[in-house]
Amino acid sequence: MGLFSHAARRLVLIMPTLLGASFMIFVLTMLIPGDPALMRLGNFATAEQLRQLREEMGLTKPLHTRYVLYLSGLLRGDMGRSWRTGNLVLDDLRVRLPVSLELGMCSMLLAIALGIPVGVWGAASKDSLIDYGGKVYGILGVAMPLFWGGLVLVYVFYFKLGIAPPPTGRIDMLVSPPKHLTGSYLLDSLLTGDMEALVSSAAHLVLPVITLAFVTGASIARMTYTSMRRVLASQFIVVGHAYGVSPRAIVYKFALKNALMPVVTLIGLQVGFLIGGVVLVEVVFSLPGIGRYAVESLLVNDFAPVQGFVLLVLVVYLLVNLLVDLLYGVLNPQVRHG
Amino acid sequence: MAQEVTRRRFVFQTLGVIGGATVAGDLLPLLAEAAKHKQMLRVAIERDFETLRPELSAGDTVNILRRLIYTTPILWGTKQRPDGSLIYDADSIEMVLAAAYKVSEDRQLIEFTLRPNAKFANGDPINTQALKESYAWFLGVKGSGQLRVNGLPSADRIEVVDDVTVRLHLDRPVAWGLIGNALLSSSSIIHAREVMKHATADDPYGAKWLETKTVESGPFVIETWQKGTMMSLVPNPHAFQPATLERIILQVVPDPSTRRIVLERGDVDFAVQIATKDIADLRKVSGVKVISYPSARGWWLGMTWNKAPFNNIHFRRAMAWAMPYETLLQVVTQGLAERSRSCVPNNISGYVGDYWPYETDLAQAREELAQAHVPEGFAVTVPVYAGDLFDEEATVLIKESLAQLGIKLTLQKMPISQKRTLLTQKQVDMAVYDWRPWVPDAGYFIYWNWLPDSFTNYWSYNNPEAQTLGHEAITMAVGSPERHATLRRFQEIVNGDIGLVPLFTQFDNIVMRENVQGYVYYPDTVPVLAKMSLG
Repeated sequence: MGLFSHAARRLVLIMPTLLGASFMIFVLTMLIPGDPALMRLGNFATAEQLRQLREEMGLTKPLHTRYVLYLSGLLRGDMGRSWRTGNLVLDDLRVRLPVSLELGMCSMLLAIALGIPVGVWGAASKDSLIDYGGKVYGILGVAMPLFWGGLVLVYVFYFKLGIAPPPTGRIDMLVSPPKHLTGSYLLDSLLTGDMEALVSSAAHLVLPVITLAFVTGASIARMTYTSMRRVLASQFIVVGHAYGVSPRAIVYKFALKNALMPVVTLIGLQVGFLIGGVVLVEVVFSLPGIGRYAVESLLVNDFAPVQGFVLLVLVVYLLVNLLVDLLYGVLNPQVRHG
Repeated sequence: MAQEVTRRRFVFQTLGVIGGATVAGDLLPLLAEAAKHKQMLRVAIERDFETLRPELSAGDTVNILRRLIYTTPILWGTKQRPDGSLIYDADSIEMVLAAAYKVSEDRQLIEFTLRPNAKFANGDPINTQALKESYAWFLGVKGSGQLRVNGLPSADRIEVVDDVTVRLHLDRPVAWGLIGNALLSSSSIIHAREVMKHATADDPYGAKWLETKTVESGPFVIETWQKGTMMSLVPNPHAFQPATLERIILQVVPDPSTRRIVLERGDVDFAVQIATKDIADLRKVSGVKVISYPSARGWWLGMTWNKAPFNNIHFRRAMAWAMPYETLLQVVTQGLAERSRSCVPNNISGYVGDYWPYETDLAQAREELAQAHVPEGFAVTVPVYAGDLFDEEATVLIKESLAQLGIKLTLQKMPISQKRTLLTQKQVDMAVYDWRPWVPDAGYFIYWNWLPDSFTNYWSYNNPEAQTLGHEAITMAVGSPERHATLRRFQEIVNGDIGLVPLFTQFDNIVMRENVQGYVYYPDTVPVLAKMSLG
């Protein structure tokens, strides 16, 4: 089966998955205890006000009616409205997704740039200082809580040394954001030639990206190391050595390519996490991403954003999974789709 | 001609951006420092504004914004404390939109004379007709009922006498009638005519439009709003009271530790909701000012009246004797609170602390418990708002104390939404919770908490004698000897019943840079940023 027909078949299969997921997401959010109308009204309300607001918010309709409304909305591209922000969830996600994408992608690039060399060098020079250093990094990175790591970086580089900008969002308070093109401040400021915004937004990304990349890079390093060790012990590598192939060529030309498949799988999984699961980093650095949006909504029983967020992250996971599958074929022609 | 991207060029350009970013770390604080010399107030708030609708009390941040963009007829007066800090004066009124007011002797007629020059941000006049339309909007929109409970059930009770004179005819005298109808959120003046242009069949009051757009009537107007990040406000060109500040930036900083350090570094001038545990340290930081105000935010242990043994007076007394009052003050609030000794909070008019004899005494508690015939190994599940340190720590200390009596508390952590829902549905047997009245008056607190149909009578308290007195106190004139006697007797009865166990009343700790001037503490703790300036 060709690459494109395989991709098309997988894309079609995503639809029933999404339908099933929409039902699960809806039911699960409905099971969360708490009354959104009550949260909205606060303490100073009357029973009559509460009744009226519940009606206005559609909370008095039967569950199956609400699901049908939700599903028909989804089919029209309407994920509902957030009572907390007053906006359509789709609009809110559209504003916040570029923040998470920018953070996630920059972190992933740095994590790959950090994790793969550490894993490869460690595996290629077993029992050396590089090997031990890589192992220590692997353990530290996996064990370190993101929240704590972020706070430590802020404390040292912003509070003590004063060389990082304040963790108050994507750009300095006194700098105007670049003209909106893609929603990514880095890209938009580059595309519009707004150097002030570029410098400020890049500076604001440095610490959160390092926080995330340190942790994600550790997982990649561990996986690369394990995979490389396995490949380096293979027969064809031994034969390569016997034929006098240079160690450099063996590591980078033959072993690395064969060791990359599990690493790519891991990177695929981490991309989903980096886009939707970095709430704590978004909180520490005051970044208005989709993770923070979902959690803040969840805490006040604003269900539509939570449903929209879960669905979006699911779509990202499915698409990244598909991409990883396709990459297998590119990395290793022996893998055939079908 | 496009330049070829070589490896060398790519590396140099990348290093350039990284270098620029690093330099920015040094440069931006300098710019921020320079900005401080202008009248630009930077405020760290805990979350974004959920809505521009002023009638929904959805959070403190909304209220901060409400006070900036919507005017009200009046505000509390201000007085100076011995240390020079400013606090509201419950005995005086500051004129805002109103130039003068009169209250009739029977307290059922309130007359305002409005400023003749008041205008909305779009230049339309804020006259008596606009005020009436605004009030009518609040009375009509679903989910809004504050005016009704304050004696103003419908817009036909608002009489427009002329362009500047308007009369509110209340259906009954209400002790806090003036404040309730001219200062609280429902008295925020919106441009109702403009809002109603966006009404639809599904949304007959244009509320959805008002969620994200508005025409300001207050001293400031919204300049930019980056959702989830910040809002910038500049003075309303049509404001009738000139502002000293040239710009206010409300920056969302959700993490309290981050709010603290950006304040310490001087990257913001004012920060809300700083953790109590940080207050002692912040007092020692040069350039930072901490002002503590005794508040009316009371913390209580509530117990249901709907089932045994909680409705047994001996059990309730045992709980009152068993509370670790001093430990709560020192450990939970780090000394930043005071003992409460009544069923209404401290620091409000009508509070009487003479009817609460209970101190921590486990021997007395055991005696009372024996008379309550509580089964051995009695266990109770207590909901706790996860994330609120006062709630969590106070409940843990109470758990330890009650364990010595053989009562087992199981803590069930949950989000605030879930706990509040359980409380409102009266499904909780016992819990620690807090409540702050926006009007510092015992009758106001009784109205919301102690009457049979009070919205937050979570524990189903029912004592006709006390509740009749409570009803009477609502309509009596504030400050009259009769009302004082009524409130005193009410507290005597309810405290005798152990209606609630008062744990403590916390201080409100306001943290800002030393050069911030003009902060006034109000009973709802909402800062009026427009009054502030930078020295």
